Amino acid sequence: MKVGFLTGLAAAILGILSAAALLAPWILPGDPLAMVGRPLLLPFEDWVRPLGTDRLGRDVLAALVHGARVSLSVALAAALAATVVGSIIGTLAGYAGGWVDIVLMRLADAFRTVPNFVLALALVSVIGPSLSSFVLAIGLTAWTGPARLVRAEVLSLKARDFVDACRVLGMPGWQIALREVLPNAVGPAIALGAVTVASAILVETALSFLGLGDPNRASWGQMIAEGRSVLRSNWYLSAIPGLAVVAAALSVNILADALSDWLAPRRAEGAAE
Amino acid sequence: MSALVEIRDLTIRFDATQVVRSIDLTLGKGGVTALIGESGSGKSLTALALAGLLPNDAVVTGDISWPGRETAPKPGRDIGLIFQDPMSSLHPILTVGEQIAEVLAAHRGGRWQNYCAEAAALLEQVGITPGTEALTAYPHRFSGGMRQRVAIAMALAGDPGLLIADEPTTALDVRTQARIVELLKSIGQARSLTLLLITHDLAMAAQLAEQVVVLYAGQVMEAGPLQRLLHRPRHPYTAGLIATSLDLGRPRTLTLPEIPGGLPDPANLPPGCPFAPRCPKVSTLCRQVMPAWRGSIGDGVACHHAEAA
Amino acid sequence: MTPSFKNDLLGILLRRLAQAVPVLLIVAVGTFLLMEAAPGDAVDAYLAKSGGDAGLVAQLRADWGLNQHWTTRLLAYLAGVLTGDFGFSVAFNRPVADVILERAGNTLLLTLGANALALAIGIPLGIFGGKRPGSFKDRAVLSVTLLFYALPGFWVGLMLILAFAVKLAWLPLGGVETIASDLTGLARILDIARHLVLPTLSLCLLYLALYARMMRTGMVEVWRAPFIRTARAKGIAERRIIYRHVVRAALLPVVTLIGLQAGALLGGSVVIESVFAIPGLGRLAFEAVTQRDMPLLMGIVLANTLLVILATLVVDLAYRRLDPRIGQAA
Repeated sequence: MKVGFLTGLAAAILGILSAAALLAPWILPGDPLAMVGRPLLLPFEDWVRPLGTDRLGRDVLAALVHGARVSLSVALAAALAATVVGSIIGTLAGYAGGWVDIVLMRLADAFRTVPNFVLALALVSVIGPSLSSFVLAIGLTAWTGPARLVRAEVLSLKARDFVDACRVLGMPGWQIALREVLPNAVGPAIALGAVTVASAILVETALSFLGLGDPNRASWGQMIAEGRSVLRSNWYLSAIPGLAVVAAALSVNILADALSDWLAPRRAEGAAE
Repeated sequence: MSALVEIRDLTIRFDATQVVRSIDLTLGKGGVTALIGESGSGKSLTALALAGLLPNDAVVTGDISWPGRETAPKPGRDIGLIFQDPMSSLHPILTVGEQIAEVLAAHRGGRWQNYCAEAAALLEQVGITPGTEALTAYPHRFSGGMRQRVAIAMALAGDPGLLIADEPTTALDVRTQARIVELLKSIGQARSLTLLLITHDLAMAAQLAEQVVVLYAGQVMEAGPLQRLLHRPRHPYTAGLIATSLDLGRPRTLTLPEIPGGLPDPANLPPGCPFAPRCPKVSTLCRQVMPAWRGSIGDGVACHHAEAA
Repeated sequence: MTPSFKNDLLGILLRRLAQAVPVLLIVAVGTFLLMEAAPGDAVDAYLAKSGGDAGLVAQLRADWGLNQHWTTRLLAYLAGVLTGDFGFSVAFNRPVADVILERAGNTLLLTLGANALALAIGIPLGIFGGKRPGSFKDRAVLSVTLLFYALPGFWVGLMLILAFAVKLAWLPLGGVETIASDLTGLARILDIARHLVLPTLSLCLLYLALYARMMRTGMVEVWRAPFIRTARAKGIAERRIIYRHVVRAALLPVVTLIGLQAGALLGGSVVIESVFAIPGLGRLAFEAVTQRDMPLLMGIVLANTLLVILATLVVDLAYRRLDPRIGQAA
């Protein structure tokens, strides 16, 4: 598999972020939200706090690294949940057809007409700030995409011979649907799932920015919001976490592109015979 | 008959696969030549090469010369092309009138709207009347046969000297096929066009062609005047094509005649004659040595076991 | 319009409305249940905000009708909606309809402006890349749009404020218009425009990338079509092929995509409105949630749903007009 320069770079960046996120408790131990130094220390002023401190004296680098933990894990979990749930629902709707299909698709329509962000906002607000509420909220806004894709694939797969063969063997419908058809139908949903990770990062950041996140955990959105009050003098406090978000989301997008290229290679342009 | 175009030693390659290998062909001015072959034989690519319309990743060697022309011919103006499926080869959301008039505008200048009257006249020439009404219609409103007529009108718009028709009737039903063939014949005669007909259908070609060139796996197997090829084919492949072409008035038999085997993979051609695996007259020589061309360009055969001329 | 076309229209209208009803119901009931499930209700939120006496709780609940069973309240609300009464917002102490209408204009101005800008830049950008897929220009377009996809709109907004409002002081820090300025006519319009430049820019980036990519992808698909080979065989100039043949055919799916964006028109600007302190529906929805103001939230959600249904209908009809293959008697 050819790996372009850009793809390699993206993988490297994402790798660094993920490693930092995973190893955070060890490389920068302690509570990232603890006040550890003089407030508004400039970056590179003190090598113990390479990126400085915010207006409450909290270590920016520590918060950044721990924030990576939150953003990446939430995004990954939410995208996974949305893809899995969406794929299952899409398979059921496509395979069962009839009123099951109609009901499920109306449900999907309802979820799609409601503005996504408002729904996520409402859910997080209602359930309470925690990582799992974020995952649930973002997942609930994202399941309709994979559901529709998988349903379309299933509809075309339903007519294939191997499905008839399973029926002849006496397999119950739901088993055919989930064990035989679904694995063949998920391809496009997986590609979408990768893209969903990136948008989940952005949604999580936005929700944290609005103050709906867990106040006991550092997160990039929260850092950006905090930096707002000193924007005039210490603008980097908002800029740096934002750049982290962009780097993460962009890397995921580049890798998602590479993934979908790999899953469905472009047909060679050949002259008509 | 003077030559309109001479193709010598044409080869076409995509990456490592050679799809057309060393074709020699001459089109006489005003004549009708049929390029016969199954799909995959390289016949369409040869035509595209003639018109200069091959895709960018095609590697072409050989010589295509146009004696009697000072500049290279331009598709649309000097060469008109008609393709196989008229539904997909016409633009779905432009009117028929615009699609014809834009050819006139492209080669004569100005806006296509200025050429509506001529476009209507062209439509009437191909049998769509009244032409002015058809101008504002969209292709999906027409039947297959009528769409192909539109395609012919588009090909004729630039007043070309050469008309290349690539499987013009394959997508049509039998009755419409006959009418389109009739149309091509009368148009060709009325305008003294040189016609290159590309098809797998020998019977259809027999209604139009004077010269026939038989292609297999990107090579010419046999060539010559139509009547001689039909009645005294020298290459076993030609004979097989005739036998399997039911419309040529052969006596009906209980079993359908067919040429056994399948088309070779151009990336994996065996040495020797490409038809050897399927040939009823095959010998060890055939499998090892490529037969040389016996005869002149446009009249000869490439077979170790060809009957003497 | 031919009679059959008119029947067609009616048929589409009725079908869409029939599809819309279950969706509206699901949305309404879903939102209601969500608010029900939330810890605390409007009274709690009100008392927390205003610091009132806890003894008032029972009184307020009775006054505001919150002591009834949820099914009663739901049915009462739905009945009200059917007669055009969208309820009373306890957080704002005014009828819901008034509150929404007041703020809807700001949001629509913002989101419609962002979409318009995104279309104006995005479509040509997509064509710029799509006219020669795989070329350097194309890859540049793909890279730039990929970057835009990764930019959080609110952070871009913040950075723009930093650059243009704080450091350079060319543009205002936020709000929709200068407060207490009493401007009218053209001066007022210009004032509002100045205020909306940065938020519109921040919001449009995502849509820009979306439209550009959709246009480009559409063109890539059309380049492969047989009728483009025909155009080349006719000797048509490359420029005309690009714009009259390819772009024209590729534009159709973009129209559908525009309609799909209608869903984000009202609610998609929540964070931007927050950053730029714009009194719009996005922030209103946020407040409705935190204040547990069910009628207000419902009002916004239902308005949005209706807008989406309307937009889908308009797009459907527009598509039928643009594509000559549909909606004409054979």
